[in-house]
Amino acid sequence: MMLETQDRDHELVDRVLAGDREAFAHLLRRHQRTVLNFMYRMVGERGAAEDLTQEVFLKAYVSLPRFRKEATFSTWLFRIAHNHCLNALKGRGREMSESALAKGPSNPNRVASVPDPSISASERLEQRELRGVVQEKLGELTPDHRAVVVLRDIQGLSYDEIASALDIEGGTVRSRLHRARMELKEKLRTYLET
Amino acid sequence: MRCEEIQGHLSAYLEDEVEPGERREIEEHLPECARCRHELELLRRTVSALTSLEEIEVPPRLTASIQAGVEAQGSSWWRNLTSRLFFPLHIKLPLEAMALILVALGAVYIYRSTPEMGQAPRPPAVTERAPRGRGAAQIAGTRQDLDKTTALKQSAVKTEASLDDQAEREAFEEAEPKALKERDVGLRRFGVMRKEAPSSSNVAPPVRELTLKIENPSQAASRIAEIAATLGGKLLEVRDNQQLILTIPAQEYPKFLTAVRELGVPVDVPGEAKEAKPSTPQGTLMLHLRLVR
Repeated sequence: MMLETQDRDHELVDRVLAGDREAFAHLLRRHQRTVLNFMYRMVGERGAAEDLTQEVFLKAYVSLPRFRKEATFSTWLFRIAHNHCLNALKGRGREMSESALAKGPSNPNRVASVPDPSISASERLEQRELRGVVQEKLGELTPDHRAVVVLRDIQGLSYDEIASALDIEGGTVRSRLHRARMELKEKLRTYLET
Repeated sequence: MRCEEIQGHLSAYLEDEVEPGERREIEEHLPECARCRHELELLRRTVSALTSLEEIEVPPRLTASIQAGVEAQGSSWWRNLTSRLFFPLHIKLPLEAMALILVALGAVYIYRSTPEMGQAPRPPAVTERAPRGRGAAQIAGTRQDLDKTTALKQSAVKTEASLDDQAEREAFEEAEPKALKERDVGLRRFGVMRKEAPSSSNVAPPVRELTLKIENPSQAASRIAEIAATLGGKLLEVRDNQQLILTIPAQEYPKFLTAVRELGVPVDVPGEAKEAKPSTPQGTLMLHLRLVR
């Protein structure tokens, strides 16, 4: 399944390089949701995440001739997204990472999850509050730690994919993920123990 | 393992990323340690809280905006071309080197195909031969003459380039050899001569020096003038009946030597064997003839 996805992406890339812009529209539809959510969890503010997502895809389009197909297209895209996000956080986003993230998710268009009939309204309220707190505490991690946690626990990438996307060793992924989770556990301790 | 070490492996344990031996030790420790069990539970809840975060949907306007941005990037072929030209270094560097070589070759071609560029103003290169019995003032005067003639030539070249009118060009072509001829006469008079490249018909004629042993130099001068005139040449100057400056057609030089031998004995005839053949048959040869007893 994964190989099929990879082959399909590479085929679309070839078509884009041959001048088929519709093929890039296909690539966009296949990956825009993943990139947008990665950005949203990294910066914590929807408008900024959309802006960054747009910039990432434009950058990917321009850089497409340099895509060597040594990695999957999605991993390559994550690498662009991660680097672009770090640059944004270093530059314009210092206040963004500290204020927007601290405010928690501003997500009016968030997907409305189907209420689980087995849990009460008060429990759902607690869950919603907890999600806000998790996002807030996520924003308090360093960008490097945050990226590993987002890619592993939210996006579901494998260790190898994370290593390729962040251009780090597999052992670094493992240790960085451990420290990030432990730090987040400490930050959420009071909420998780109740 | 102690609790601290156990807790250091809990994150990997959750994902079954620990070695079999470590897993065994952790699983033996957990039933006996409430604190580590509690920490493992908190870690599990942390990961669970992260995975339960809801995804946000992509608004249609974002997709449209990205597609519009891609359209604005320009045509694909142009993007590919510029990207391949300017980004990969292994293509960019040879292209730049090739462009540099082409520019250099172009400069050499233009230089060679434009003779005027070879005559650009430059310091006069002179070979001074100190004349015997002449003072420094004469050398200074000669230098002034040289400067004047150099300026004359430069001016002539400049003028030639600016002439558009055919009549003016013809006048220029007539005037230039005359001016250059006068220059060489002046230089030869004081024993100073510029080193020159092989001449052509419209620049200074080559000069030959010839010494002739003769019984009566004073009477020979008029005879030599007649010989020169017969061969199509001209006597330009006679000084003290001992030095003659004259011109003859270059191809007539052997006949001139033959005729002169009837008057006296030539000494150290320059280029009698090969230099007598002028590079251009239609050219003019200037002779500096010294008559000695």
